[in-house]
Amino acid sequence: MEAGRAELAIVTVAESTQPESAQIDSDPTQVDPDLLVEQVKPLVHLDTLENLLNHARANSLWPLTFGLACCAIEMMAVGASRFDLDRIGAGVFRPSARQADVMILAGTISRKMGPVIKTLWDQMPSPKWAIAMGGCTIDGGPFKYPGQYAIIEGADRIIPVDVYVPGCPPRPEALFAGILRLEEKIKAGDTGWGKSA
Amino acid sequence: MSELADNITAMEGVTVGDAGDVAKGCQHQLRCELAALRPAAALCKQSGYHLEHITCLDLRADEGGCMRLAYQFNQQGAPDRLLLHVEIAPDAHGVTISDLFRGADWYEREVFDMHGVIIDGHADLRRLLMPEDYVGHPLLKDFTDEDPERHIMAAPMPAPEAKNEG
Repeated sequence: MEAGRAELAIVTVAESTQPESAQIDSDPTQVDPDLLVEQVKPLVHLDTLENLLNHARANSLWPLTFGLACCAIEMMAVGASRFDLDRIGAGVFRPSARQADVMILAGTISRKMGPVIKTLWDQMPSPKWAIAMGGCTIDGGPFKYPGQYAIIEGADRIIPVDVYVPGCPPRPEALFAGILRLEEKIKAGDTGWGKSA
Repeated sequence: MSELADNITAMEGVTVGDAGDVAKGCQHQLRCELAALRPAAALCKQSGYHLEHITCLDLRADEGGCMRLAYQFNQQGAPDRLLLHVEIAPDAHGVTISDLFRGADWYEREVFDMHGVIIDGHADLRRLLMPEDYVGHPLLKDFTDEDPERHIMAAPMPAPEAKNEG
């Protein structure tokens, strides 16, 4: 088998609900077998190893523990019991960049902090993803004006960002939506490699 | 006038500035020569006053252009805020009071960082807010950002004529 492209058999539970358009007679013996094959999803699903790995990665995101400003308060609320980020498998905040695979940029990035964030990003091993949380990390937010000297006008000026979560700060639900969007992105094939630049 | 304000006003090099404005929170406003700053601060320390704030104003464009260091002292209990203005020439150095008030340490570093006023006698006069390799002092009126990496981090500086808008 070709390395990395090995086809893997994944047993999935067949969809129990039929599409609304299905017109299956109550007596199974009278059903057209060809129609049945179309309407019932197969019990054995063939897929690539990448997709299995992406599925696993998407449901086990390990964010890096760090906050930059007020958005971090909302991020902490997301991790705590009321909202509970563990419900979607992303609640294992890691104290070391070496163990993390998602960076949640929560707050204003000051000029002095920029190189630190860049270093942390470079220390994170691939696969890795970044979420820009709040107006400051999207484009500078309320601190952006012509000639300002204090902040970096958007996280994507220094690291590649996968998902932007607008708000000032965003509600915890919004960060949830952002992480779920990132999970969709990973499942759709964003492997998170080659993002060191 | 409180006893401390009287004593400081009686010092050589100290004059009463504009009348203290209680509505603005300053009971006393004094002008102080640089040489009298440390004795005045020492007197505040002896009287149990604490340092509230140090900042700087860029008044070089005004008549008799100067840099004005502003020190605020206050006490617990009955408020008795002293505002000390120390006006120095644009290229002159300030003098530290961080050995008298430990809280002055970072304020003086901030004054150096933002206004470029060198504070003599400070033990560790590094930039406080900007990166240590930064060039320029952002709160000076004629500041332009000379950071060679500015194009990465922020939009270009506006043209000089557009700078005074708003």
